[in-house]
Amino acid sequence: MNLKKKLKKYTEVISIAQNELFASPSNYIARLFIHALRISVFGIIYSFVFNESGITTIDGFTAVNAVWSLALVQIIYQCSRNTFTQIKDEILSGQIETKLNKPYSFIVFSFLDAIGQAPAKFLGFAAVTIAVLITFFGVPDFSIIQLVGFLPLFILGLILQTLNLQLIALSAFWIENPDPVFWITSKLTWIVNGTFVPLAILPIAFRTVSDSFPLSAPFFMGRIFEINSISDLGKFLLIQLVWIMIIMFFIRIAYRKGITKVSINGG
Amino acid sequence: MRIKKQILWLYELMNFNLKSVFEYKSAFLMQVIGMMINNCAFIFVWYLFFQIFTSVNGWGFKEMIGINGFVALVYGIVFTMGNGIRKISRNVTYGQLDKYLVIPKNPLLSIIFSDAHISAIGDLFFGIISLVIYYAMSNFNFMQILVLPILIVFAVMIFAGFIIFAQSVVFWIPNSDELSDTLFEFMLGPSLYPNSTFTGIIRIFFSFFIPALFISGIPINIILNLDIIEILTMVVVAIAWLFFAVKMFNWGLRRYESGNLVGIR
Amino acid sequence: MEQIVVSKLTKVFETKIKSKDAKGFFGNLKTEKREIVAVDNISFTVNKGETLAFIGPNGAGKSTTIKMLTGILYPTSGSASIIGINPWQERQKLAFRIGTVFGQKSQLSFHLPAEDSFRLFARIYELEDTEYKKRLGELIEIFNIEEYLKQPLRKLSLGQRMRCEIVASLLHNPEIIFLDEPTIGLDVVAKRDLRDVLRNINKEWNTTIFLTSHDTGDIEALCKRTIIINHGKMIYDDKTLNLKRKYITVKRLYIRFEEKIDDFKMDDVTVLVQGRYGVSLEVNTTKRNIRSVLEEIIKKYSIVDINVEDPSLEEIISNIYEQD
Repeated sequence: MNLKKKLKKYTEVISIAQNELFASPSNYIARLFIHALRISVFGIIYSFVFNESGITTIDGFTAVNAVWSLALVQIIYQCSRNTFTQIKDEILSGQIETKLNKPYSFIVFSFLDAIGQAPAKFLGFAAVTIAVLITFFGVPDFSIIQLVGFLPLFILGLILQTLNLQLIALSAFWIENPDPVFWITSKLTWIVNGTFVPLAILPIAFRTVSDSFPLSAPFFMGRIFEINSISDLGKFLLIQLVWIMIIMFFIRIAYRKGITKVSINGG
Repeated sequence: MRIKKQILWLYELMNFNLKSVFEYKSAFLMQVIGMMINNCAFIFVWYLFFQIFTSVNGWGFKEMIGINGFVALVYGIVFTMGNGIRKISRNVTYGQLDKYLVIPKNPLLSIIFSDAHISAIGDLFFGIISLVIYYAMSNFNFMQILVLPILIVFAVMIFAGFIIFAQSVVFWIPNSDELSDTLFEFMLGPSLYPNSTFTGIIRIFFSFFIPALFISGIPINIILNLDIIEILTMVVVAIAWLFFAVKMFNWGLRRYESGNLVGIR
Repeated sequence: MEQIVVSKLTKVFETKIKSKDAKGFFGNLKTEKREIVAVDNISFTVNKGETLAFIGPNGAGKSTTIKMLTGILYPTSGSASIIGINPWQERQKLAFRIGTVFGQKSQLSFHLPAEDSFRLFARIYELEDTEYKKRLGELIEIFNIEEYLKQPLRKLSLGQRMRCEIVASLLHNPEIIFLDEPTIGLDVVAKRDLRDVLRNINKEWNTTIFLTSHDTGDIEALCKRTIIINHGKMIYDDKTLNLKRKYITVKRLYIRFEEKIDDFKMDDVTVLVQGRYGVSLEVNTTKRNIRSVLEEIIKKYSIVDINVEDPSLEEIISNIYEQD
């Protein structure tokens, strides 16, 4: 009985998050449109680049693979929210104090708030991605394992991405201005998570770094073409799971320590 | 006389922002160096990219240094002191616009210079260094050196103009600060890629609708070829973008003053 | 001399609201247009040097009116002239001559000392250095902010911050100062001090004060005139003193008797509290005058103590809000 009540307040957050998404449909549609444009541009660039250089594949990786790879990474970015900014602002402004004396976990709330919009966003962005890529650039031959792997890689990836953002945002308890730290690490991450250039095109060292770095692990869905067996899939999922647990652990510590530091500005 | 007072105000405002940023003394140097390391990392990836794809339509690694340097310089110039330019949307959404309206100064200028992003100095330095290296690798003549600062001025106009446009969307689409950010990334991203990959309709789109090429590839092209037509086109585009963007902001402001903006109270 | 002239000022907002029969995922996409009349045909004038309280319940149209008078919003119809200037057409020109203080929104930098913000304001209002320094000196003394002028704003208490905000709004010697809830969140002493200082400013420099507040103490202490607005319409515009005179319809009596009283009853008198040796009564003075009540009580009972009270201004105003 009690558990049901408890769950209710958390499911409410999810539905509020979804409502927020649809409260501004023009926003959502505009972002879908820009996503379509962006992946089309990738497609054109990479088709051109491969063509011009007379290269058809790089170890089996074609231009079409490149485009799909970049598009899949983008889906994760588009499905996550500005969790970092939200939490950081709440801590720095002191607004978080208003949430600490409520009978719920602020961290859990914020997590669900971030995840709440994901299903709707995923449907939208996935649909647009598939439509655009199939129409203009073709479909790679996805294997069964790869098709099976999409959803779990996405789900775990999004969870890990949200947790990462939360943890970095919690640094606001100690650092007055976490923005530059966030900026710099985000940009550096682009190099190793396949945002900038698909990892398949870069030397193997980049893939190794991507395997071992929590900020790039959420984006394994972009490395779908490296998955040729169950053990390949298993490896990626395992890495994501392990990082999820580690980051959750650190979030707990950071949060507990952080809220004792909530400083009251002025008087 | 009036101009002098405006300049005095802007100078004081920038001073004021610098002070705000330094008040926290948060590892300023670390940020600047961090940014530079970041940018160098990107150049390194391009180096690897061009190991595989050798050259794309005549553009190679050397040109990538030039492009990345140019864009970083424009970025650094705009954001170091004018970081408020990308907060217009958020200011409107969170009702922070009013305080810029009740003072006797142009609201757009007030917002633009309301914030400084000091780590953008890292991009500024990176840009200068990259361009110096690019020029050193290319053996340019006197005219090709002279044209650079002029191109930077116009590129800054286009860059700033587009951001103002993207941020002003909020006056019509509520809660759209993420959208504005996305639009900005959509201009910045392609500008950092080998421009020669853009041909035909795509080239037109990324020149005149999302002016990514005008802040990167086209200026570099102008330096290489010193084509008068291209220079004039850039001048016209720069003036047009800035003019259009400021007009759009003012239209949006008028809507704001009607009080009918959804979600604002 | 007329300084603020408002004539038939009206503001109608168009908003979109969720349709009543909207359900589910896509429910949010169905919207209906609705018009809200926030300010309805109000007219008034304010003379130079007046102190005016512009009050009303939440949502009454106060903030909307102030925003129109300071040029932030333009009206649907009607006109306003502040110091001869149309606020929404010549906003910047007006801005040089008015000061604004928003109780809930700060205009100073949170991270820097107030004196840095003041210097910036001096540039914003294009003050000459000598003029600025002199004025700042005067204001520092009047507001007594010397000791925390150099501390970052975030380290100051709310009361200290408010003083700095008001100083910033007075640097350019405005002819009118608009204050939107300036005492909100301040403690009793801080409020009193702020009111004293504002009263002095009005006396010394003849600065017109246009104040909105929910605190009746502000109104009583500062403003000779009160305008009450509700549902967008003006429902009262007169001296603050007259508010009490016009709207007091009850008086309260607190009486202690020598002997035990069981069941106190009297015509046209309501018993609020019945004690063993005392009562609190409420007399509806429109039905029966207080004198006759007192005479009757003194005739019938042995009185130890008597207190006669008016309802507070707060009660009066909230009754006005409710009645409307």
